[in-house]
Amino acid sequence: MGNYFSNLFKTLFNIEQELRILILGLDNAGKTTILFQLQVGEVVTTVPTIGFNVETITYNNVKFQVWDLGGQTNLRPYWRCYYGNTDAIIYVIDSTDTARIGTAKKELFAMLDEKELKDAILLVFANKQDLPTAMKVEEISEKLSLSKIKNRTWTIFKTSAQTGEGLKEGLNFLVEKIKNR
Amino acid sequence: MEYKKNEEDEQPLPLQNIDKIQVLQESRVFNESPIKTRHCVFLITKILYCLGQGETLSEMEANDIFFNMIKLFASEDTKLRRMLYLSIRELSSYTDQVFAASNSLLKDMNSNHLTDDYKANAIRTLRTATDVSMFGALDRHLKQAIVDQSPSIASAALVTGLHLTDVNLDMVRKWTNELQSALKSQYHMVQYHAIALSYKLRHNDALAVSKLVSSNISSFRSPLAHTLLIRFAVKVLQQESNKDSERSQSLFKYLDTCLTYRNDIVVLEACKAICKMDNLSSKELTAAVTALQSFLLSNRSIQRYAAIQILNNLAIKFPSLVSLCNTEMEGLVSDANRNIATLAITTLLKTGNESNIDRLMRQITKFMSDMPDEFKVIVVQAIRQLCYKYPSKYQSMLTFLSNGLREEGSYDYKRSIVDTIIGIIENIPDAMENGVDYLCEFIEDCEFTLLLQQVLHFLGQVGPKCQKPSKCIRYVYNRVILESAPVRASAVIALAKFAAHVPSLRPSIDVILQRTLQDNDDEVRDRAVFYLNVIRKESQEEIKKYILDPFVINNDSLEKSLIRYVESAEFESPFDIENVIHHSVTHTNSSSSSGVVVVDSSDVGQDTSSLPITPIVAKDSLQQSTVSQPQESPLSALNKVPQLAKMGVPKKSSKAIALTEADADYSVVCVKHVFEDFIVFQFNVKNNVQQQKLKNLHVEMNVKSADGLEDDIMIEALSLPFNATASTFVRMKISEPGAQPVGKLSNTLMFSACEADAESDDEGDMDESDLNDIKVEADDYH
Ligand SMILES: Nc1nc2c(ncn2[C@@H]2O[C@H](COP(=O)(O)OP(=O)(O)O)[C@@H](O)[C@H]2O)c(=O)[nH]1
Ligand SMILES: [Mg+2]
Repeated sequence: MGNYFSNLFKTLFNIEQELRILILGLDNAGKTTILFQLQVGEVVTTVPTIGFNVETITYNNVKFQVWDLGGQTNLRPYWRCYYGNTDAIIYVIDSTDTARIGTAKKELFAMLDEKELKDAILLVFANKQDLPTAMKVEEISEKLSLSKIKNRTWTIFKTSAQTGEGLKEGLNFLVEKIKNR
Repeated sequence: MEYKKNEEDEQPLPLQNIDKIQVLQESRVFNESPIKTRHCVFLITKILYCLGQGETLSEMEANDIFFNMIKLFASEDTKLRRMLYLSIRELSSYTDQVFAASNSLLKDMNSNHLTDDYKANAIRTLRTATDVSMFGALDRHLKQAIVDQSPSIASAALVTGLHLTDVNLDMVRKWTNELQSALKSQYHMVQYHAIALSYKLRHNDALAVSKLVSSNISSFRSPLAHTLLIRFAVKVLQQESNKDSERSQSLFKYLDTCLTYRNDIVVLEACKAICKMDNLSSKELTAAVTALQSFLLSNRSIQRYAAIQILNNLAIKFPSLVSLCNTEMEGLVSDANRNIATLAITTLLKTGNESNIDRLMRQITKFMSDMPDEFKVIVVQAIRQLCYKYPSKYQSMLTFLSNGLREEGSYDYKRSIVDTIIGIIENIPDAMENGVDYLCEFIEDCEFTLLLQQVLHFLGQVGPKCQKPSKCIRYVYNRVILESAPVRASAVIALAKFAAHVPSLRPSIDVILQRTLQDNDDEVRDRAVFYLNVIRKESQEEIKKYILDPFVINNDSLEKSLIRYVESAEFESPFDIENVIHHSVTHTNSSSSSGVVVVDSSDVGQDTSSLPITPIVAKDSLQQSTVSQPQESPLSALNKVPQLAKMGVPKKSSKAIALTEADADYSVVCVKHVFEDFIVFQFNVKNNVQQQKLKNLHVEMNVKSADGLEDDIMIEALSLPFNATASTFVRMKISEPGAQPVGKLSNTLMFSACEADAESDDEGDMDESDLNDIKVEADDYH
């Protein structure tokens, strides 16, 4: 019990303690745009990420160390090099990319199988919801078979890195869950 | 050299005893959150130290470190960032995965809060991390960086550009405007890198280079940039055929003005450039030599070294010009820096002439004793050269060398002296008596087995030709009594050679050899028995054959034959060494370095009681040596003849075998191409007779003992002017399909010879010339 409180205390008040978050997803899903939207509140122009971005974001007094990893096919095998000590994963889907939703699902489940991510909370961002051709959240949820995920705290948000929609909500959810962990 | 201090300093270095494995295990520290900055910096230092000490990493280890370390990019600490850059550069030589840092480096390069130096380092690191395909994306950033007001950023981008010319030349070519403004930079370092890159972009275009040089001569203030300009100017001058052209003149003038530049580096570079040019007269070189002369008196050793080094090279071609500096150079003979002293000595030796050699040698002798052996070796080599130049001075040089033999010294030093003395004896007949005396004296007290054997072997050859061979024998015999078994065996062989050469000595050598019959080493005893039996033979012919004529055996063939013999398991008939001797002939190469050994016939027999060998002295095999000079591939010659080209690729082509001496009037080498049903003999004929043209060349082959080969077709070479080479072919058919005939063929070169400038319808005189036999052997088929 004492341990529980000290952990909670650390998480919430010790600003040295950061939450480590990975933003993953196929290339062009909007990961980098999301990262900078969260950090500076603007849409930045991005180039494909060769490697990664790492930024520190403070939100509601909680510090997040956010890793945005390049999503191109040849870079995906290296995601696992970053898995250690991860508190949460934000998995970003390009809602307009109907063609690759299957690939997105495959990569998602491969990742969830990893032992190092056993305790990580999962947030799926159905991104680019501002675009007319975007699939609905329910459809994406269904296509990704999210209901099959067991033994894990997870949820899905509809987001737009363009407008900022849904991003804050996502972080709020995280803070909430981690408080209660 | 001023490194002495460290040697005395006994304190261990702080990282001296660290171990790679331990360091690698520690790299988990990188994962800890929050980041332990100081700990991480220290750990990276240790990793870099290990790599700097020559440790290497497997790709997996490198990946491990890298992906752990990469997390440190989350820290903004600049010290840590610097270490990250350094280690990425190191790791990039072990793994490609470092590209994963590209995005972070690119971000640093454009960062607002990092200092210029960090951005510059990010640029330099980016090159090692990023692979070629990504550079298109960097183009804009690099161009911007070149014109950055910060010199470190501009330099970093220029250097990156230099590296990129190897992989993406077209991209860098388009940076002309940026480069132009960098050339005008007020910063020396930027100028320097800009000129280097500009040159790299146009180094194939002499005109452009000379423009580059002349347009920047007056504007450059960076001494380093000038050293580059000097080098480029030399390149242009070397390509320029006309020394008096306006362009050459202006470049020469530039080099000359550099000799009076106020910066030493520039002056030395100009001297070096001028002295290296091969088309200058000694008058044109004088200014440079005078400049160098004053550097010889500099109190900075680096300048003395640079100057003497240049003079040393120059002295090969211009000894008398360099001898202007003799006074200064003699001062350097005792220089505390041994590199400088050695160079001074060898330069002096090169400038030496008949009149001052003796004095020079005496002077050097004084300083030799406190010089390290590796330098003494260099001096000995210089003396060797000098001796060939002034043979009449051999006496003082032999004296000098023999002093060297008497003092303590390493194997390499002693060997260089022995080699030199042997060289002198072989080239200067007058030096023989003295030289042999010194060698005899040397083996009385020599601790190196190999050298003893070498000298004994040599004495065996030369000693018998001395005025009094007997005095030599005493020293050789002492070896039989006093030395280790390998040396005793060599001495026995040498004694046998004395006996073989000088019949009058045979009785006494007989006595000596009898004593060695009691030797406790069987190798020595066996040789004694063998040679005793040989020298007691009546016929000089036989004695010569067994003792003096070495035969050639190929180690590979010997091994192959032995394996074959053992595998065949037919031990009723003894192993027949003759097979090997025959087989090895085609592999014979005139330089004994390529696996061919010359053995004394005695070395083959193991059991003296039943010597199973009749050593074949394969004299002609020595002449069938392969030709070493590079030639066009024999196959391409085949392909030029339609009848032969359509046969396809041969199963095996032999090495080229010389059928004449290389300097014969018409030198001929042969290549055997073995096909399924044919053998094609390709004869490359070279005409060495001036004023003569050969026509209608072909080779008549006569099957002596190679049953199973039939004449088929012959292809003539129509004409062969002086100093040219032409190919003629003979194709033989293998009568029985699948057979592998072996044996000998004799050859005659047939041709008609006429005056080089004769009318084209002049038929010339028919002539012929005998060539050595060719052997076809089992080896040719496999
Ligand atoms: N309309 C729209 N475009 C987006 C959104 N998120 C990202 N993009 C665009 O999608 C492209 C890829 O974004 P990026 O962040 O580089 O994707 P990443 O490869 O996942 O890092 C960029 O052109 C973004 O401007 C979004 O929510 N709405
Ligand atoms: Mg990205």
